[in-house]
Amino acid sequence: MLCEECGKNQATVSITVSAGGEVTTRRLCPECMKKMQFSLVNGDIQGFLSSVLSVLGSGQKREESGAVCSGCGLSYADFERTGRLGCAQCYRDFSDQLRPLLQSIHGRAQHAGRRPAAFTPSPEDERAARVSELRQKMDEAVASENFEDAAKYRDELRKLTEESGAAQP
Amino acid sequence: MSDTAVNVVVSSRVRLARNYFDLPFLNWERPENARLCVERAQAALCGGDESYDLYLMRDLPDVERLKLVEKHLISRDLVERADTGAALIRHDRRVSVMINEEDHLRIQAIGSGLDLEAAANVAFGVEGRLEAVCTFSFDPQLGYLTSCPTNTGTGMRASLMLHLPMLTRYKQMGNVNQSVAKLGLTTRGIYGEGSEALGDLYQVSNQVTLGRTEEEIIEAVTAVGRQLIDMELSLRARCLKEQPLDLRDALMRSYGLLRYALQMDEKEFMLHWSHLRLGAAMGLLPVSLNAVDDLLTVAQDAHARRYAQETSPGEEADAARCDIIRKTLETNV
Ligand SMILES: [Zn+2]
Ligand SMILES: [Zn+2]
Repeated sequence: MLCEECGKNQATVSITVSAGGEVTTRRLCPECMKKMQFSLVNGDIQGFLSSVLSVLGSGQKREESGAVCSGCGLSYADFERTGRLGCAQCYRDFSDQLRPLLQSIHGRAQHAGRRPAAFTPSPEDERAARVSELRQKMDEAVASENFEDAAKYRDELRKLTEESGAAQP
Repeated sequence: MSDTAVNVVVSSRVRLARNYFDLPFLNWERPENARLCVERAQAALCGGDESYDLYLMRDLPDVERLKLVEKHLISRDLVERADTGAALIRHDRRVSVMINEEDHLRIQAIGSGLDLEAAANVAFGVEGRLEAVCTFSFDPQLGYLTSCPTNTGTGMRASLMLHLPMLTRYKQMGNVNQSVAKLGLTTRGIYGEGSEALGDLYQVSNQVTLGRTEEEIIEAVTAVGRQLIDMELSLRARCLKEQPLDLRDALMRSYGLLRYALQMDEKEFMLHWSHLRLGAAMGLLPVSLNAVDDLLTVAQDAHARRYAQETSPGEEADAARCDIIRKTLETNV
């Protein structure tokens, strides 16, 4: 399929867009993706953030959502302007918007690194982390047309979600 | 490899962004929180077997703040947060903890040569001492939570300061920037505005902080560093083989100017400094790499201004800079 941004090149990268409460997926070519990252390469994080934010918002005109953090009172519009969050609660209250943003900045949205020494994850945390990791791996396998591995990840995912009795994603 | 790496790598640096779980990020609006941020870090780090000095930005004269920036111990952003910003700096100057910068804490460890792993271990050690007293903002899915989403996850930035005069001269840096960006890393000039890289000095660092382990990040930056070292060294060998006279002439001219000039602005200094380091690394100039790397700090503007204040009040920074350079080169013959 063709890139939804330029309409010329083959789309290979997908971004999940959450706009106005609706989740859609946009597919871009590497070039258009790179264009967004270009400003970042020059150290202009502000420019990168606002370009990603504008791409994320352009799939559909976002309502002037009055989303405000219950912890610090920062509005999502403020964050879009400054690129800085106000507190840890912002990550939870804006999670619908932040997850796709983090995904597009980092290419992944599940932490894989160190944890505080005192932190003990609950079984539910462990499961959620595993699900998210498997989804990531499945997407990456599909993107590189490695369907055999993708099927393996899918089966594992299915098992995990059935075990917990949760609904199929 | 490791012994030739110093010919290209000036330093390895690892920085961790951390926030206390119970305070909002935006502390410059809340002086009482900002004070708490300082007190907690001080309680955790001071009075142990390592000694730290506390620098409060508001108590520090402008020139002293800038000297810390020139030493890469604090950032310009911290200087701009003069009313709440602070830094705990370990006596050996290999560790600094910036407080109330963009995040509550920015733990930074610097080492010379190519050794990000060692720098990371030092930073994790400092983090451990802080963690014994404080709890950091952490989410099982998103990792360490930071004020800017570009740091979320590990909160880690691993960077190498590289001296790449030949890659610059042969106009390869554009290609390097492009291929490095594909790996989730970035290169940028360290000194100078926009795209210019004064002194041919570049920083290579990870851009991505979420979804990779700290080890993966360090491996990626180190691998790119090694590749750039190889490319740079082979271009140096090629240049020496193909244009020995041109190369030695350029290096000797810069050396002569640095030894005998009486005034020099920062930009001109950086130009000749690059030749000086290249000459030292290739054994073509009578000066040690350590002395050259020292000059990079002590001959910058704030250091030169402070030196003038102390030794000959009224002297211009550009003249003081030449005094400093001359002294270094005379004692390093
Ligand atoms: Zn496109
Ligand atoms: Zn908040």
